[in-house]
Amino acid sequence: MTGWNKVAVVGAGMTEFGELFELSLEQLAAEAFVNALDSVDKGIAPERIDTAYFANVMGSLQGNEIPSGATLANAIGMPGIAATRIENGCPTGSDAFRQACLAVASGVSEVAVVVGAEKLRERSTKNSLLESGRMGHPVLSYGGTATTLFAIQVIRHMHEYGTTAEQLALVAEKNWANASLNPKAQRNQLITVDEVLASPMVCDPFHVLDCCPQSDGGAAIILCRAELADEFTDTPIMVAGFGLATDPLYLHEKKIFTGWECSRLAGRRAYEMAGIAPADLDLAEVHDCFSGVELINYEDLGLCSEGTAGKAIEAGETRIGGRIAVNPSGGLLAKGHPIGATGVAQLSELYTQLREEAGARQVPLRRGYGLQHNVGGYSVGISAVTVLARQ
Amino acid sequence: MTTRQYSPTATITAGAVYIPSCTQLTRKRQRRVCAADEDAVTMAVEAGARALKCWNSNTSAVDALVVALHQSGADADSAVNAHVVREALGLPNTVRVVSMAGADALSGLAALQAAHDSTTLVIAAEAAGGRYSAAAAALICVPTGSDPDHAIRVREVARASELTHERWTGSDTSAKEPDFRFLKHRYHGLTAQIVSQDIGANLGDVSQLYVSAPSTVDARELWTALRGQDPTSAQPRIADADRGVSGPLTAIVDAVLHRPSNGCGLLYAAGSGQSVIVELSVPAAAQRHFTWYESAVVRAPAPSVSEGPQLSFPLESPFFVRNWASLLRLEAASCEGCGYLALPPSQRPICPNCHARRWIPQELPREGHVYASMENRFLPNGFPKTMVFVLGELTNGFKYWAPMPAETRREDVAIGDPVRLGLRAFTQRDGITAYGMKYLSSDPGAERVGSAAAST
Repeated sequence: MTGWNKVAVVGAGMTEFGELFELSLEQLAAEAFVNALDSVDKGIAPERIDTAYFANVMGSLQGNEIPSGATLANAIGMPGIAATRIENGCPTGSDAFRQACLAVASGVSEVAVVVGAEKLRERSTKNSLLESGRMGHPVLSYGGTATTLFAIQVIRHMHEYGTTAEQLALVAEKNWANASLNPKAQRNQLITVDEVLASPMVCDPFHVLDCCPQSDGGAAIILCRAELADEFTDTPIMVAGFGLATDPLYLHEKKIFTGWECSRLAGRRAYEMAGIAPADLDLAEVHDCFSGVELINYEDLGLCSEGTAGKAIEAGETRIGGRIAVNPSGGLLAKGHPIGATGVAQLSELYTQLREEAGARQVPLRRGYGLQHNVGGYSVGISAVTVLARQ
Repeated sequence: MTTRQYSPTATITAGAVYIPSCTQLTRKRQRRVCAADEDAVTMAVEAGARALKCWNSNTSAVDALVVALHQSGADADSAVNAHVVREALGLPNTVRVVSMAGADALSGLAALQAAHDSTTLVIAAEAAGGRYSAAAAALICVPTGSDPDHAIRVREVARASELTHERWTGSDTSAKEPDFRFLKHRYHGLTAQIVSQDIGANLGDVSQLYVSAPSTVDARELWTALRGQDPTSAQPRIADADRGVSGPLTAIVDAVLHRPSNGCGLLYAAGSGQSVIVELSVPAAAQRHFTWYESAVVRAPAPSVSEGPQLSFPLESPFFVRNWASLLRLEAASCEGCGYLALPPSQRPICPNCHARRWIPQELPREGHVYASMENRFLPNGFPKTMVFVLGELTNGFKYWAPMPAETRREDVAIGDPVRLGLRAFTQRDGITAYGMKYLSSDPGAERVGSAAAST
């Protein structure tokens, strides 16, 4: 087995994603944590965990105190533990995982937990994430929102490669179908391409059903030094590689407009660390905040060649059972996107899939590698990629 | 009959008029009005930039800026607005800025008359709806005596006073139909008073007569009264310059662009309390330094946004204010080492290309084409229901991201379309408006220079 493999994942869990008014941020974090503990095959005492990372983006904007590591430590009943809050745009969860890997690999920590939790539904949709469009940034604001920032690349992709609205809608149709097999997903019905195209336009070229929901939710993952893994399970999943990369921050500084340089760079770093090529992957959980973004991710991550993503989705190459299954969990589009928890939940899906425990949505495994990817942040300027592998 | 000797009041070497492209039917008449995000400041900048371009001299040669801005909001902060105009036009920090009070044609004329001892950019902009058509005009005035061959000379020849006010409706409640009979009577008195003076101009030479006054003043009646002083005079071309504060200045540009053979015109301006007649002398060489921007493509202004909480106010944010001036000037920072362009300048202390730390300001081009565009139909509270956004590629290859005015629809814009960047309003509080760049549809046909036709 190639790759870094200094850290093993031994447990993972998540809450249901959705509009969870009855649950607080702390309750979501605790539920995800307990689910992760319960998933450890040979059991684990909480005291065995020496380090915690809290992945959370919007906590301070919900009217509560500014969250810190202490928020998580107290939520999971472990005051005193070394706990750090990570906020790093949409890759918050995956970067928190990366930081935990570094802590464990350095020897400072033996067993760590990463908990991502987010409450986006406490406010109305127009008053939550969209608030950033009201704040007067001289370049980014003036009514520009996440949709406008991601739409630029998709519109250029459609212009330069002939990618169609129908191909975008196929992504939504696929991911909703996958989510219908995932009991934790926010959206669990089936939709058709025609329904996507007939849904109200939010921002060209994205209809409502081309967009992910705003979600509440939590996810947690437990990792340890590789040589300690058999204390917890006989089937650990190894961290084969990861990459984090940034992009020129503003649109006017971007060098490419049919993809994101940060995704390409993060992907290359992760593949190199893992010692694999994209063709070695069995599945990928990628950042499909909007349908067209998933298509661009295919190309940025080398899952297909430049300009061919539309054809790949048409040919069914990224469905479960296809050449490479993309977002078997339902992705952000249908499983949901509670930002801080998103990356952790993607890793949780890889853990489940690589252990062949995903039930009806199980992806057939060949080489035993799975990829996780996030891209986002202000002006889409940061990306994280992780490769997990069966032992 | 009283006689008085007046000295020359202004010498003008270049000028421009900007007419907004929105129209509205008011008082049974189609009038040009501001778009939803236009006002006297943005129009003043449009006109001022064109005048400076026609002048073809460095902005550092401008000693003073005199502005007369009539905003629709009663609480507009005229001092701040005058400095926003200065900054947006890239005039030096040392320029003397004078803001004229008042909301009628006399304010515009007074702005012009304040410019006789130094090189001065005079701008008058009328944004108020209802009575007047919206417009802005800008003139470059040079000290008397330094006039080049193509300079227009403006000389006051008569002035009269009669206390009145233009807010007259003839009604003590706004619910009743306005009744202007008494107001008309007062302006008749003002007109009678001024024509009773010995007009210090040869009426026989006058081939153009402009009237910049409330609609209660009839231009033909005025000429009839004036002709009483010289019954042999032929009737000149008569034109209403019914553009409020900007009326006298737009009339002067029109007089240049429609220069008659002898180049002599009269301008009658009346406002609250006074009326003035000035004589215009237009040399044949003047035309190429004047321009008139008026798009033939017109539409109704977008309705103002009233639902939802008010937008947060950027000018309360030091984060925004640090970038305020460079945003108004469309100014980036250019790396002294490699020429890399950074924006906003305050956020790029180290060049990402060569790691140098020395920057020089560089104004970005205003022209470009659409690289990508989309209509956002789900905006935060306080914004219009929909907005079109454009990532434009400017003529130097730099990409700039900005919205378009609320009147723009998705189908109006396509990849590759020419666009230009212009200053427009975003939000306002307590009389101060936050401005920024928006993409505007490029309309080369709207710009008429020199001998091309123009009309008031």
